[in-house]
Amino acid sequence: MSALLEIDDLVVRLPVGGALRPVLRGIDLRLDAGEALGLVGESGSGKSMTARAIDRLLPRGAETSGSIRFDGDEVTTLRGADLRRFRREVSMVFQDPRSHINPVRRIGDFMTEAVIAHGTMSRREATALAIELLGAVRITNPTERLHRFPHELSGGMLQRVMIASALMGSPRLLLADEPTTALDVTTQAEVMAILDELRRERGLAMIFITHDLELAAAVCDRTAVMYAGQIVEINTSRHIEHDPLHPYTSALLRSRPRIDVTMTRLEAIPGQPLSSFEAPDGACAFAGRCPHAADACVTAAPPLVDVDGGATRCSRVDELRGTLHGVDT
Amino acid sequence: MTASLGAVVAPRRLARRLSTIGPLGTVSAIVIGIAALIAVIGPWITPHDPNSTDGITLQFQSAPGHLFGYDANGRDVFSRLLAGARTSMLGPLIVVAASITLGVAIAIAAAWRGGRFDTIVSSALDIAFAFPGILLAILAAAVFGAGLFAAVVVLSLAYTPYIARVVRGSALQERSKPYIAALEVQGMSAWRICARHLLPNVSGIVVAQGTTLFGYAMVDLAAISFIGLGVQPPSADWGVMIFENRQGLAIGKPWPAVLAGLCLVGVVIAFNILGERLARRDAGIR
Amino acid sequence: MSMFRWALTRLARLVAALLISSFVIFSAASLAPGSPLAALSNGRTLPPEQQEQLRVRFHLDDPFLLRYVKWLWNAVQGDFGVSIASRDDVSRLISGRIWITGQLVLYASILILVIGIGLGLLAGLRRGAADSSVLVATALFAAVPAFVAATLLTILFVTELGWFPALGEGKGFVGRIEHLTLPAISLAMASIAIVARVTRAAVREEFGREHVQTAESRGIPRRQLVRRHVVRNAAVPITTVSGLTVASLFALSAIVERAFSINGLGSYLVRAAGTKDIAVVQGISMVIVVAFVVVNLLVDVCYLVLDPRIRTAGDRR
Repeated sequence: MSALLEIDDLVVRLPVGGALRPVLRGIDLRLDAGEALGLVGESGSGKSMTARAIDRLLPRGAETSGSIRFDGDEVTTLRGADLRRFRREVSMVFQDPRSHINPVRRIGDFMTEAVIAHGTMSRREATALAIELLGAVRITNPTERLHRFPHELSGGMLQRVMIASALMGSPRLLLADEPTTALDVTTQAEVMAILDELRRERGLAMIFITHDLELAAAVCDRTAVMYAGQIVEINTSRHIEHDPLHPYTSALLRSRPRIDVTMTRLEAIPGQPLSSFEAPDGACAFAGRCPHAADACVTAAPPLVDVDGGATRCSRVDELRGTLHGVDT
Repeated sequence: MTASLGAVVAPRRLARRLSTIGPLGTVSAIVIGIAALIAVIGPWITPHDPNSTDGITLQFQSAPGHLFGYDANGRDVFSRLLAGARTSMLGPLIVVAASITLGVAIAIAAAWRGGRFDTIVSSALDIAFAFPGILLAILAAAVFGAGLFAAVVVLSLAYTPYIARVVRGSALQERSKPYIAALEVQGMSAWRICARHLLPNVSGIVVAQGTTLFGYAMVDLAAISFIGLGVQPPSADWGVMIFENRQGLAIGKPWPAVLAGLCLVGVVIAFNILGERLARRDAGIR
Repeated sequence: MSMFRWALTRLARLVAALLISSFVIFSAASLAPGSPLAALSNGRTLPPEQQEQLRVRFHLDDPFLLRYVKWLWNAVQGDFGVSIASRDDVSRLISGRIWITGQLVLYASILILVIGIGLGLLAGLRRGAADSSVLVATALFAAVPAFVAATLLTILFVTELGWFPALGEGKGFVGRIEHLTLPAISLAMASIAIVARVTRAAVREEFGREHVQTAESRGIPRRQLVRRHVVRNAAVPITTVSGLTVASLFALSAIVERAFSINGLGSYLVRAAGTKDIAVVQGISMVIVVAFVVVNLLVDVCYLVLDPRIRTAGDRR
């Protein structure tokens, strides 16, 4: 069975201050139909940019190389109607629903506009489906909500509207870009549960973008960790969480506060996160902050090597393997 | 004055200051500088008496020694353009100075007092903001008689909201910062805090807004003179010159009117561009 | 509920604007040097019976505020008094000229809305040559005052090309259009530039909004995206600037009418101001202020239609 989504050596450069600077430096990913993949990293690591590159939503002037294949078809060169047809197969759920939903259009319009424009459904069918999906995301009075404006709904409610409308066109891939970050803590869990449940029910593939490694591991089959525009480690979520192979993954796991273990202090990662613009050419981008850095780390950029069913980008993987701490169980 | 003196002494510092407003801003500043110089010395360097009607038989004709020839009343066009710079720019200068003084005072008071006072002041400013200054000027001319004085007084009032609105916003922002509260707690007087801390913080935006308003005031005053309610003939003024020489348009001798128009528009564009650049620089600093 | 409150505050502000302006307009006559009688009679010495007439007519023996209230009450009923110069009813003099000025302002408004918004959309939606030429042109036009525009247009289209008549109002529909075209362009020119620039900026800003990206990510065709999400949302700032510029046209028409010798309200106002015909000045000023308020009222109605947040704000759940 061939993969739903295959990304090979994706490089994206953005114009910054007159020059093109890389934001993604060679991404390789593979996603099967119905599979959920977590994409984790600090802000600026390129995780959102990866999702944007897939859905062809890069800022003006961006330059892309490498390949992205969806269902075997190359998408980086799609234009016009072909691009729109592809975008129907891929739905995006954005971080901040309040700014991602047109404030002057009613909820019903927001949900049905795309399917009506594509001609796949009549207005009446689309409205019926919208009501059904609003019910599925546990919004009460769905019929009445369709006539509301976005500002009349709370943030958590709006994000559920966003999720429901992402399902309108029966997509095969969901790109969820920090869907719960902008919400209240109490509504986060609820929205996350709805998203997870609906995805599983419908057999949707998902790329789930978050800065929360443990959340990603909880809802995704596999997890990829990004740093400075590259994937530094990818593996099954279980493996990533309990047996990290990259010092950065380990550091991320350990810098998170725990409620079940009393800790004297949090282990913050020393130094500043590096943006991919600043990443050195012939060295490991994490070397400056890595407690295990050695001479080899600053003389050559480590390649992504297959280990333990996943892959990691660390020169010292053989020495460190098994010694890095994950989440204690 | 000391700033410009220092700039002459240290050209490098001048270059650095100009680089913050860009090449177009620099050109605008130069145009304004030349216009201001002519406004000051213009009446003394006119080759002919701007009010002498020697060429009354030579209306709209060119003549040796007269760069742009004679106007509709047989006066030397070039001399009138030079002399007109002063009247055309002195009025706006007073308008801008007065509206800045008034506007800044109102805005700082509103920002400082806050509460109900601020609400009343700012809604009054909102109403006055949109009110056309030219109508007020016509009204004033009807009451006090046509002339530059009434127009200048009225425009000063009409422009005050333009200054007060932006300054209030800026001052309000500064007012809410903790260090101001700290100074208040230390017992520094309101006057002192306003003068030493609020005022310097709004000076950039005041200069930018004042520059833009100078251009507007030039247009409005010239328009008032054009309709005959501002500067009175035979005084030389660019707005008056356009009106006086209108008859030349019909007989294919448009130059006296057009030259006056070009002088006006050129200087106004310079003020607009410089004002916009200064505002952008001020926004950049913040 | 809150829409009602919004409408009420808007209305209150407009009424306040009307009251304040009418007070300014009325008290202007009293500010004049010398006695109000002197101002009303334009400094001429009148026979005692005429003085008495004026005294009664303008309630000069009443206290100032009472005089204002009476004047306003009469003005509301369309009675602005009698012109000193022509001894005719001011309201009659106004109604004879209001039509031509209304046509001029309407013509200019259409130009501003169609060309200004059109150019702004063009520049906002296209990049490159179209955008930069609109930017340069509007930067120039914005700085050209109406009377300079009048001068230049006359040279080009009347003297050089002979396409349009020079002065006057013209007869019949076609003649009227012919005569009002250059004045309307002069009146509209700077406003077109301003509206175009604001429209361009608003369109650009909306294009950068995240909700536009959402629509794009769903494969909405570009035309629909532009129409339903970019232009529709930019309509609010475009309405604001259009309203502001159109509202000021009534006052600016004085300059253009004078430049093209059109016998409308504006040029009559200037003439009356020159001869200190105070009743006429007051009457026309009031008409201009009312027109100004009416335009602002229209703008508020537009807001109500365009921005759902005004319509329903407050009952957020």
